[in-house]
Amino acid sequence: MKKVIFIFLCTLFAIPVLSQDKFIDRFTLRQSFQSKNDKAEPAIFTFTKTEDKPESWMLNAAIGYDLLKTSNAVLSVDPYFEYHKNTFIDKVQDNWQAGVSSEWQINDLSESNWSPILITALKYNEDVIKEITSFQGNIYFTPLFKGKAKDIRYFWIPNNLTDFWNLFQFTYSPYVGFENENRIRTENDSSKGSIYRLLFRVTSSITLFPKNESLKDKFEFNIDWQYRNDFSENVLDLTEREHLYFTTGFNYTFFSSTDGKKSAKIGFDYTNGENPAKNFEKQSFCALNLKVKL
Amino acid sequence: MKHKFYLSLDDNELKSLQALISDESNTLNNLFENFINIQDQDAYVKHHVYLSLSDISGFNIDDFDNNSDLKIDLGLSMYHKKALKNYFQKIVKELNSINIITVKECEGLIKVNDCLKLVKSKI
Repeated sequence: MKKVIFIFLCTLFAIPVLSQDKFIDRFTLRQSFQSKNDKAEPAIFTFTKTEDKPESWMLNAAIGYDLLKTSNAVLSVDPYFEYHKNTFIDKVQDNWQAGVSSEWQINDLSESNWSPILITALKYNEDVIKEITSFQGNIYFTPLFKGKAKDIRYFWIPNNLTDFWNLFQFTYSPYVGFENENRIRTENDSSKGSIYRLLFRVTSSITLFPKNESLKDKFEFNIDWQYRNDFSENVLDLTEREHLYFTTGFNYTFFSSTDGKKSAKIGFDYTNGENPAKNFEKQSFCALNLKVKL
Repeated sequence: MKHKFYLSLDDNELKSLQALISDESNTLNNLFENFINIQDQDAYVKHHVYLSLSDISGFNIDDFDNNSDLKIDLGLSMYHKKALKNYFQKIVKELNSINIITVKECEGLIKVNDCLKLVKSKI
């Protein structure tokens, strides 16, 4: 395992509360549109250049544009572009993709007790390291229910926040879905073909001391576990059918504006596994991060 | 120079004042009626925003106030915040406004007061 400890700066465009009349307000900058987490992670960038070593840099950013300003449904459609490059790690990641993502709450929660949420994306993907060009798509599902007043008896309900006494606030989000990768150009013939994957993913967030006025929203612990299974493929050089990806992080927020829209936090993140949807190869690394939300 | 008067009246006193003003001047009466309508509209928005937040969070409307945090205090996830679009759009429509509340605007809500500001900005 290669350990990388570094500090970087993250920015997230503040989302306007009062109105979305300006053109610029309809853009969103975040870490990824691959699947829309309940908790959108901010974009990250870091660059290091020492005298006797080649430069190292890392960029995980995605920019999207809200198309449906006048929609009556709880539906968002964002054309987006995202770029992931990381030269700090053993197996360098260099990947960009462009496409359209959407998120749709099918039922009106004001008239129904729950709603399925469908998250989809269609994209053109370029893996610069392996020289593989592909068209990819995904569809994920997660359910949303009305809140239960943070009652501990309902902690098992997905996407529902629960207070465990004064100690912590807990929530988790399960996703099931399918992904496809249709390779249209590869360096080697053995890499050509199509892959169809089943995805199961669970993200969880724990916020400490939710009822303490001075400590609430200061400490958070996040987990993201993903399992992919290639249930159908015709690519000759694929050696593994199952792909696991796990990332966890602990953050301390040391600054937060009174309206809660700007914040700065320091966090420790650990990543282990592989994510073929972003051409992140199997490996593990740690990072110490400074995250700023503007 | 402008002068401001602050009055605290119950319903009967308000009606008496309204009758008095309507007898005296049309202009003053119109201004007074406009003021009353705005006051009622603010109360309407607050009442229905609180009802919406109560329905989606499971909390009673007496359990939170304008400064309550939607996530920490009311337990609303980002998906719940987005779902508020439908709730708030109905309030705006009831007040005969054709303005649209967007999903992204709801995504950015942090406190109850932000919800009130968002709905009021659309009417």
